[in-house]
Amino acid sequence: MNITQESAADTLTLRLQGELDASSAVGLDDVLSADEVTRFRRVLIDCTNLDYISSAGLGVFISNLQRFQEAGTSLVFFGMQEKVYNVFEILGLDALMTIVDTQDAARAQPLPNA
Amino acid sequence: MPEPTRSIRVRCERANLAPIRRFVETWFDELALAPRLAGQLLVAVDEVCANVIVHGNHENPNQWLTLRLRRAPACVIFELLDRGVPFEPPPFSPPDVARYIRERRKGGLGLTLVHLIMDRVEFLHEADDANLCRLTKNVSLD
Repeated sequence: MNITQESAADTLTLRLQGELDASSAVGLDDVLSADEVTRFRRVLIDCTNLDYISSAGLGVFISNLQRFQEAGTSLVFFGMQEKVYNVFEILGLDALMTIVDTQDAARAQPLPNA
Repeated sequence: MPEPTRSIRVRCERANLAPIRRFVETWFDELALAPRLAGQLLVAVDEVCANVIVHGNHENPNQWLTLRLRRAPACVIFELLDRGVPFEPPPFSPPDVARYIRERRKGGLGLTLVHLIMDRVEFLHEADDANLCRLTKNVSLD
């Protein structure tokens, strides 16, 4: 799992490449749990090259979402492959998290109220 | 009972989850499973392997797990054998995922995924003191 970070103004984009399983989820959790992350108004997760996700990967997002919401930081996923989206769907997470098709659509999502 | 088709034996280390997935994917390709189904089954198998490695055997590389893949006319069967701490699963109930988010929980949804994906989930104890987790999915194979 490679994680590339790009920040511009109020937006942090994390580009995930590879597989997010019980072995690799720890690295992403370290990044997403950092205090600095919630200084951004929005965090975009680029899933274009994310080839796999298990419950350990989902757990990274599940365990951080409430903290993001309380900090007024939006968390938006984009570019998700069908097989990855399907895992969110099975658990009903597609209804609880913001998942859009493209990076442009992710940037167009309204920011949470400050 | 269907005949054993193949098996993989690895040490109980998280880094072995990816090689297990490659092994299982190769089998799915040979069975020509639909991609959506193959993706779901891969998650279910990965989840039980992760549980055995992390919880059942505490990532002890001196412990081993064996995964057997079997096919039958109307189903595929995954059997996971290990000699770690026996797992006594609670009764399955659909999860309140919103509560997981409120409680900021990192884990606890793996076995839920397994139950939602598979048609039958069994945790058994073999006569030789091994733990056996058997996952069955009904599927038509040509």
